[in-house]
Amino acid sequence: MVAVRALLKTRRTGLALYGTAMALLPLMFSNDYYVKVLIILGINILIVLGLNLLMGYAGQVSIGHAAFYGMGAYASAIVTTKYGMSPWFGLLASIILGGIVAYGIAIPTLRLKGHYLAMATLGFAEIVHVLFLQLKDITGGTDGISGISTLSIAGFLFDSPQKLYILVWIVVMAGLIISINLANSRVGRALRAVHGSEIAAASMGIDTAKYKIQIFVLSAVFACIGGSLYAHMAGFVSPDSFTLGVSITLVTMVVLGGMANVWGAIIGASTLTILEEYLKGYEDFNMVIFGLILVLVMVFMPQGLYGAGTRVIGLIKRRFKLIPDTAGEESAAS
Amino acid sequence: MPLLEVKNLCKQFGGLTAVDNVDFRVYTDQIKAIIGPNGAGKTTVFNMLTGVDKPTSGKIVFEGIDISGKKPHVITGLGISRTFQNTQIFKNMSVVENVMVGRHIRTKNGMLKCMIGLRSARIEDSESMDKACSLLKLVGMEKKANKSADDLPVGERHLLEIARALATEPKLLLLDEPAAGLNNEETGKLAEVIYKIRGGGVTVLLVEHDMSLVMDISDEVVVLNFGEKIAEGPPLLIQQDGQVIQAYLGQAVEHA
Ligand SMILES: Nc1ncnc2c1ncn2[C@@H]1O[C@H](COP(=O)(O)OP(=O)(O)O)[C@@H](O)[C@H]1O
Ligand SMILES: [Mg+2]
Repeated sequence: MVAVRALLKTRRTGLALYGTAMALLPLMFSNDYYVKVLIILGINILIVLGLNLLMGYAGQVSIGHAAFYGMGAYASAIVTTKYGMSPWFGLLASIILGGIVAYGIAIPTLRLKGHYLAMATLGFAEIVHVLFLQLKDITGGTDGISGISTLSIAGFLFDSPQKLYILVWIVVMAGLIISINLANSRVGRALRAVHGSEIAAASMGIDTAKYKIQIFVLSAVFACIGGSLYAHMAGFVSPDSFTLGVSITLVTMVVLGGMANVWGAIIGASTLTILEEYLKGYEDFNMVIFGLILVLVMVFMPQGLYGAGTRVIGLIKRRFKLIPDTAGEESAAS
Repeated sequence: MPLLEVKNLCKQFGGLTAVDNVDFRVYTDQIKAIIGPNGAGKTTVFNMLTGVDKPTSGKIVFEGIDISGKKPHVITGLGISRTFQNTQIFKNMSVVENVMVGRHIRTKNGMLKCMIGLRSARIEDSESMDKACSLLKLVGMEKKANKSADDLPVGERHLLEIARALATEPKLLLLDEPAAGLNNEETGKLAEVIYKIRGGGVTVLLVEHDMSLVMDISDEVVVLNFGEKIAEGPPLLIQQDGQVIQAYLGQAVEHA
């Protein structure tokens, strides 16, 4: 129990440090553009946290999360521009739509074992992308939808990037706390068990289909909230922002950071969001570059950056501090 | 009333009959063994008892309830738990977390409560942790609680699976070749663990190749050969059964 309490304390310290750093970060930038990048970073972190619960913890792969991201964005855009409703209804509509659609996909595919979900989400995302393009009356086709109003609370408008960042920060911190709680709970262990051995998980009394469906819906809702925030920040949505390339980038973020680790998700999302900024102007190569990173990491660094980092730290610690312990073990063994 | 009654159980995989019209009963507080050459259908019987495989025909009655064809998690809830011949530990978790997964069916907090990190969820969690630790102690693995399960040798993987299965509070525990990978001394310890489990009120059904272990600890033995039951009875009688000797000798000759 002492160990558990110590662990809880480390977790809380990490959370507090990260939260403070992220809260202070925009103060370093006077330029609105960089704050917008930070908002995109926050949105990516939120989506990748959800996707990491699905992929890293439960071991279920989705290659279509850009579709939920897009559905969240479009739902907000349509509700606010076409029906003139409050952006909060937009956010609510995003969550409900994403949740229902994800549930509809999950029921038939996640009851099956194997990689049906990857296939299903890939196909689903392509269909959604075509719908964004073709349902011109509703989605505006290639032109997309512009003039999306900004969020506000009791007359306080989140009308500048700095103000909106506060909201994004709150949402990301909520997503982070939810992820950490879930990861180390009864349900989190059930998800990891499904990943580790589905047959053993079922034999331990876990309703594997139920948890796979639940976590898929939750990850879709995270992506939809991200999409909604994006729409209200940018004021404009178009199909280009929700392509297969975006789905693959999201998957790469999960894998690069290190699966089944909340901090890994943050590291992966941050690294690739910044890389994407540097690659502005070479968007055509994004798919190639991110695809390459994905493959290289899976082959050479399956534990991701977080895993590699902790291993290096472990090695250093052993090298400089714990030499007597290791030597003792070795001599005892010989 | 027997705790478990298996009636005319059959399983076919395509043209292959893996289990052929098998009957047996297990009574409360028994240690019962199923033996037989490789491919005799022992694991398939376990798979049907736990809902992993659906019987082609026949009935499985547990505590008076027909459980044939029910889903694995439902059967676990009713009180049957198992270990696997090819161990199925959760390599992505620590040893103690593996056992805590076994508490799943006996705990309640759902997705929402866990997300919020409700107090009730945390209290339940630390109770699961305590139970898991005491079960690790039972199998002699308390020192490895915080190790990654992936680092365990084969023998300890079987022991971990036993602790994990016990965490579900079964009435009937199915062990599929638990002595695989154990040396003589460890097998002796395993026998003690199995006695302790039975002493705790859990009935044990065991598949095992280590004959001295089987003959030592079992109250009754069922012998399968090519999916059929060829003998059933107390160990002493089984050892003298002509058909059983034939089945095992036949196998020995083939292997030679
Ligand atoms: N899922 C399966 N599909 C096809 N054949 C199987 C399957 N499971 C087991 N079998 C076959 O059924 C027979 C019995 O296997 P099994 O129950 O594993 O034997 P045992 O545990 O007694 O060694 C074997 O011939 C095996 O090849
Ligand atoms: Mg077997």
